[in-house]
Amino acid sequence: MSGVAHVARVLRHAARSGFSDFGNTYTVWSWAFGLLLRMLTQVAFFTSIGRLLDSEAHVEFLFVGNAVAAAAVGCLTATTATVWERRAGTLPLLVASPTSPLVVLMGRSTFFIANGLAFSVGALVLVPPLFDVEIPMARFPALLALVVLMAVTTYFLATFLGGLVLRTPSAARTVPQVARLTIMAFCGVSVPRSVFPEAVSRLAGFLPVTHGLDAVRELLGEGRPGAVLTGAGLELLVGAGWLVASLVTFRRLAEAGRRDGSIVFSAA
Amino acid sequence: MTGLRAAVALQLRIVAADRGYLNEVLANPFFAVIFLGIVRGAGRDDLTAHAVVAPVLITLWGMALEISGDIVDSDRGAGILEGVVATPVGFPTVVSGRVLAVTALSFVGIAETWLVARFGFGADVTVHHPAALAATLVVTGLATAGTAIVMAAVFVLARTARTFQNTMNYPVYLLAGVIVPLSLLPGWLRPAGRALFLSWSADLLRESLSPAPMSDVLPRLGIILLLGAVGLMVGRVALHVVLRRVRVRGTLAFR
Repeated sequence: MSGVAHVARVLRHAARSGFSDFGNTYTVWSWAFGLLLRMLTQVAFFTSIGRLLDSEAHVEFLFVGNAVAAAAVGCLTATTATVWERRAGTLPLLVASPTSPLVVLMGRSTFFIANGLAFSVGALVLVPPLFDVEIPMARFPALLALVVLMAVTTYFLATFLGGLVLRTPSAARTVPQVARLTIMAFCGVSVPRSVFPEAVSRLAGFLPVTHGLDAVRELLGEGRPGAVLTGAGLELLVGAGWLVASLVTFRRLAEAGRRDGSIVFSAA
Repeated sequence: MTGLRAAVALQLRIVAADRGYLNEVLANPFFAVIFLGIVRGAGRDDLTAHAVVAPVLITLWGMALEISGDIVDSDRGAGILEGVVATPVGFPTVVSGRVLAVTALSFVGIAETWLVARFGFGADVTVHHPAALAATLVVTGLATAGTAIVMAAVFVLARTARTFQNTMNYPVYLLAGVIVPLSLLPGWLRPAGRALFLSWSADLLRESLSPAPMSDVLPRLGIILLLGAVGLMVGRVALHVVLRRVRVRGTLAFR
């Protein structure tokens, strides 16, 4: 079996196992009235600030940013995947197995991408009538493609952060929370990046969502294909960067954990 | 009272050992950046009071939610929930004490928000009615601790506390008008918002930062206390009923 086919096989099995875990954790009811409702109200909460500003332009800016970012924000929970494995007692086995544990963990957490996409699609469809916002249906397929792109790039950031959490499990709740809030605050989700100093805006360019959201705003605004593709391309580049960072660091972090025993013995 | 004091001390020791409990305090400056960035970026400096009150209330509520869910969840996980419930000090007293401790800690959010406003956005936040501000913060803290008991009762009963915990923040922020006043929400939502003590707290806190004279401060403080007391009573009864039920069924320690 070729290397690619092997990785694909492991990813497929891991993904199936992850979806199965997710299905055992949530019922349709608890997902809809737990996770989805929470995300819809989050989008509505931030969008309502546009009403406070008495500005339809701000209502639209806040809605688009938060509805689209919902997918990405949802994917960041994948950061804690290593903690779940540790609690289940499977982490040492994964690290010791001949297959890369990163491939397994990435596969096991792919349901977060689907979950995040459901959040965004739900928000894009259900919240607009509350605020008289219109999303042009003709641009919905392209919008969806950009949302998928941002979810995946953020997922790669989450896998990188997952490696860090592998070494410092006590930060398992803090790391995704800080990442989530950093994206919400500085990547143009609710606040235009022009509000921040140039250096902050440049740094945000290395994070997922920033360029993808630029592309989305262009798509729903003037719709210049060149500008949309540039934003999408930059988002792709950022995602690739985080994927490479994950591949480079994860094995080292796992090996370090094997050496000092923290793979098994650590407070999570 | 001894049990309450012991619960407060216990929680402070737990927080010192597990800083994950301070996540909401850590989140405060980010929320301050978001809200201040939105209103000041839009050139609406007149809404600065809204932008600085919201992160404070979000930290307060978020901490209470986190801890009331986590007490049950983590004690269950550690296998000590049965022991805690079996002690002579009532479980509601333990929960109240532990929530009171984190509520007091969450007031750090006031300093954090002020620092972001002052040094991040150059905003001068002037307290025009300091007595009203202080009184509102105190009664809001007490009401938060009281209401957290209701949440703890649900967490004992719920299959997993986290599912419920994750659902209870943004709906409350929206309904309680922590940044957007209830008057800007659809009319049918307002009565629900008024049933939340946070909506009264948000109004009073915003007004205390405005130079305009405040009216009916005492009655409104009374409403916050009343809603907190109702939460405490309902919570104690609910917890009693729920604990009895899970003990009879033998499901106290099971998720």
